[in-house]
Amino acid sequence: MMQFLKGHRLVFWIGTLMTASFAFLQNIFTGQLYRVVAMIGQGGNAFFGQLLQVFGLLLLIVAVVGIGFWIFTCAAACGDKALWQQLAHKMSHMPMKNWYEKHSGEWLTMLGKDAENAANSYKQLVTRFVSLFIELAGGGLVLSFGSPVLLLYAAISGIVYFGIGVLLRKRNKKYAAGNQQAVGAAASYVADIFNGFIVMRLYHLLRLLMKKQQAAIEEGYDYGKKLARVSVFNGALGQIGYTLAYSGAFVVGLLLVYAGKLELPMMLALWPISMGVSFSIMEFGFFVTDMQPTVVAVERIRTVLELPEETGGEEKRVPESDVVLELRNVTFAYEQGKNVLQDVNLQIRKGEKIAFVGESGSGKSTIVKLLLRFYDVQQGQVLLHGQPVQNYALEPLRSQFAYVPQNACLLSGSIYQNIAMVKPEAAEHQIKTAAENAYADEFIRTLSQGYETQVGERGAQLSGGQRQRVAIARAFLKDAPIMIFDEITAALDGESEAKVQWAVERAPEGKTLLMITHRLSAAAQAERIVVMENGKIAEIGSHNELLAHGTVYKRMWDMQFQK
Amino acid sequence: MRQKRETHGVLWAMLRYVGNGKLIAAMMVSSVLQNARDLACIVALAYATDQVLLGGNIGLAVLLMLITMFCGAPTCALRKYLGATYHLKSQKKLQRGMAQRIAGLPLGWVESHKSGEILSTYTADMELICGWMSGTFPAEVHFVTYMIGALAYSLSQSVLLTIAVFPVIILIVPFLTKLAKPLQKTSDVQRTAAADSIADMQEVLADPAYLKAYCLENAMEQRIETALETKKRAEQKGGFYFGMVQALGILGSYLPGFVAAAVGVLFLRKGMITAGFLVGFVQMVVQRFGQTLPQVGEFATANNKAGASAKRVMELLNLPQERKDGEKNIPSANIVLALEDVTFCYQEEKSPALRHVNLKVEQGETVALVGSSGSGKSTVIKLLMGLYEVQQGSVNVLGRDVKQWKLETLRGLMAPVFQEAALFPASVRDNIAGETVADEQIWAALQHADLKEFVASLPEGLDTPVGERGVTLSGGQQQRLTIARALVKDAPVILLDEPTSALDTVTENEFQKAFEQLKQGKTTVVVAHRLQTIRSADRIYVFDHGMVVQEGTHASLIAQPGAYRRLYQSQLEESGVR
Repeated sequence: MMQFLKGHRLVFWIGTLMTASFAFLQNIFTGQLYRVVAMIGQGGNAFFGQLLQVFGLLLLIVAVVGIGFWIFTCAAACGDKALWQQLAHKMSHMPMKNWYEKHSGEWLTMLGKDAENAANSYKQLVTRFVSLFIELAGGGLVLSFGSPVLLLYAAISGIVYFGIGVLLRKRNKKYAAGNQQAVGAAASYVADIFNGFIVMRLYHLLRLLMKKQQAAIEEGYDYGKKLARVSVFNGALGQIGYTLAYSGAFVVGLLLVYAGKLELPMMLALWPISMGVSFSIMEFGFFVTDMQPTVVAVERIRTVLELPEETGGEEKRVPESDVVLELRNVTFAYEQGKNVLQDVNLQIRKGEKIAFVGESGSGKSTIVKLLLRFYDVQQGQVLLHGQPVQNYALEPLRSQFAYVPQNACLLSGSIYQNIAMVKPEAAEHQIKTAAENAYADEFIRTLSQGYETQVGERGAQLSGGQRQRVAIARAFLKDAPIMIFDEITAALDGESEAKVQWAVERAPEGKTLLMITHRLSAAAQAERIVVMENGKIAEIGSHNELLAHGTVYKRMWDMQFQK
Repeated sequence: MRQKRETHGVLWAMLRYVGNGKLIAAMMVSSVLQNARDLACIVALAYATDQVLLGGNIGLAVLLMLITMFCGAPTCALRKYLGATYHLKSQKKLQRGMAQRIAGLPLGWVESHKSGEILSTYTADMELICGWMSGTFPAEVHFVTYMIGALAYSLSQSVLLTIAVFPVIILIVPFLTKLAKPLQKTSDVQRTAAADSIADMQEVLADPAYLKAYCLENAMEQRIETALETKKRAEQKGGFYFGMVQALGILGSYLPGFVAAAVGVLFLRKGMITAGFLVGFVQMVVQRFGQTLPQVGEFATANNKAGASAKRVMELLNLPQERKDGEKNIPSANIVLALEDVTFCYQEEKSPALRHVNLKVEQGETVALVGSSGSGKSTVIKLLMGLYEVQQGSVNVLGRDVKQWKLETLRGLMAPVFQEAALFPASVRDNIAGETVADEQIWAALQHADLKEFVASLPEGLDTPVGERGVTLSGGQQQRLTIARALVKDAPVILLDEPTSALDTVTENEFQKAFEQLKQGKTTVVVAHRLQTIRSADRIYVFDHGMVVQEGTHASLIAQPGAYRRLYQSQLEESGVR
């Protein structure tokens, strides 16, 4: 994790040392304060000078911590940026195969909580460790010169305190869960009583649920009592541990003074330091357990950072040919043993309008993923203009396609920005033309801010149909020779679907169009329909040809339109 | 200022509601005990220091110190125990009170409010207020009593010193907190800006497939880099401000101690106080004031939060309730149900749901209510169950106005069967019958509802849980279960609201069969959608916009042109061949 602080290491360590020294320095300060008091009590002079020194110490501490914190934060912030940048880079360049291994929510958490927890490794863990270390080592050093006996006592009481702490932590967990459950159950009964109003009152149910609810309350009470007993005992025990380290050290110190082994002012100066030693021993003990969540997060981030990146081939030039796309004997499986595509053979010519239909799981969308080279086939070849897709560098390959998915994601920004982002160098009129063709311009004009309308996070301010039309506008703007529409109306209602469908029909001439759909009425308009079933091409032909065939396609058609 | 008084008022009302006066008194005593112990520690420490300086009897001093040290555990334990007990008792009292109030709500209130508000008050607000009553509030009192004790101790040693030091100390921390406030705000603002950058990143990287398809990876990385740069600068700026806040915090913690020492030393030199006392005094100031006083600032915020929660809880505890009075005896009459010139609005300014409706149902009859949605049919059912009170006219059951019935008794006469099955996460048995019902009765009802085999086949039979954590029932089974429930209740009046959505024919038939069983010998009112139901009813009332526009048997109504004929025809078309 420290690698992210590269270039800022010096600043980081200086800042850390400054902030981490606080615990130790504060003990020194209080000690000196007591010492001055004791010295004057014994009849010392020049008290003013002493007090000034102590005050100066306070100011020094304030400055050190204040400035140290600032310096530390500056370095940590740089580390954060480096961490997140690398993370984002990996996430946008990793092969899709790796992306699909985790649920999308997990990836978001990776960027959010996981990264934050991992960053704590250098933001909190290091500081805490150094702080405890300084308190312990510094205190130990001072005590070994001042009073070894006190040091011994501090060490012993620290270990005892730690032992007590271990015992306490175990006992707490047991009853907390039971109490939570009972309280939650009581609440859910209340919800039921509220929601099931009529049935509750017209039947025995109200009485029944009220009884259950009361029982749950009682149960919660009982668990609570048990929990209280445990926590009270724990509190008492903890108090003893604390007192031993705190007042106990004072008593030991006093006895040493009485025995003539130590001067009172010195003892008072050492007292807070010995407390610091005890407490830091106790905290050190728990350091390892407390750092668990951070360690886990660091592991997770590390695995992501070690993922490979997508690589393409060498060829940058894409030739022209009549057979634009071809699948040759393609067999593909996401998981070994479960073939999603079986020996698929298909040729798509330039300018064709071709539809893919079939039930979900039949392999339609997989073909798209293979064309865009999100995955590589196990057997056979996927060819673009006669060359295997592996040969091309990724950018020239994907630039051949304009892809519209089922749920296009828009980014917060204006509609204009969202369309323009696929072609930053495009002129305004190009963008507007694309929007017009996509039937997007018509609704954009009705908005009070037109193209400058903010779409909100993930485009939430627009309806589903509007978002899709913006996505289509993007595809038009990109002006790629092959357009792919992947179930673009699956998530839309009837009216939006119609509008989006019209937009598709406005695709420019000469483009090769691939349409994946399960709405047969949309597919019927294509020149050729590819009917997929269980990973194989069952039939290919035009709408009329397939109906005449009377098998798979006809069956599907009849089912959809029987009602 | 007024808000403060309001907050105090509602918190005080909350304390009174929860009661347990003796427990609170005991808590106060234990608080004083602990404070006394803490002060005794300081006194013992001061005494011991003086003894050593004067070369006196250290044995007694050490003994005193040890005693006060180990008294800490029991006093702390006592205080915690009492606090925890109070917490539990107040939790119980509030939960009970709120649950009962919720159970007594009138339907009008329930239908115009969301369960979410109530639930959050029941859970979150209650926890917060209980936490306040058993935690923050006693802590505030504890702090005040400690201050009084400390003041007393200090005065007993030196009035002048107390006067010189205390005001300064007490003022330092609030002063510094005030200074820190705007700095804190700035640093907080920077932090939220930083959080926004992460949200932005999450948005951009949500769909990498799409990014790849458009070769936007690098463009997006640029966008992210800009966002991260903003975040970095924000954090660095925030760090600057927060560093200052921390610096002020340290001053606030230790300056009081220093002031106490500096001033005290003057008094020490004049011999007005002992060194031991000053050591104890400084220690007290450093430990208590430096670290506890800043928390006082948080007391005010905690009180406000608690006040807001208390307000919501008190409001809940004062929500309207259905009336509990009324006649309990059951008269006999031939006309079981009647509406006489009833006009009813759900809410005052809205248009009436029912207008001058006249309707009667005689013993043993099956009456159907038909009409387009929103025409008032379901409203009639609700009125018959006494769920609302009418503004004009009267709703009579067995000759007596609903307003005079005891609602519990009235509802005992009715068994509703609605399209929403309303089953609960409980056992089959619990969903169908109360505890006093014998198993045989339940099995008989299941038999009639054609569910006996199914329930018998379940792992725990009648005790098998239904719903989320139990067995899932199909839509048809759920509905037949509600019929079994109505069968067990064996009420003289059945109220049925037929489902409008087209069920598949098989399920519908099963339901019909079970329902026929239920109907035997009872008086039934049906909000009907099925043509068969309508045709076979003894009488039909046709509703339109809250008024009864036609009345009669199917035969008589279909013969005339009018709303019924139209309704019937369109229903025929809609359902195709049924």
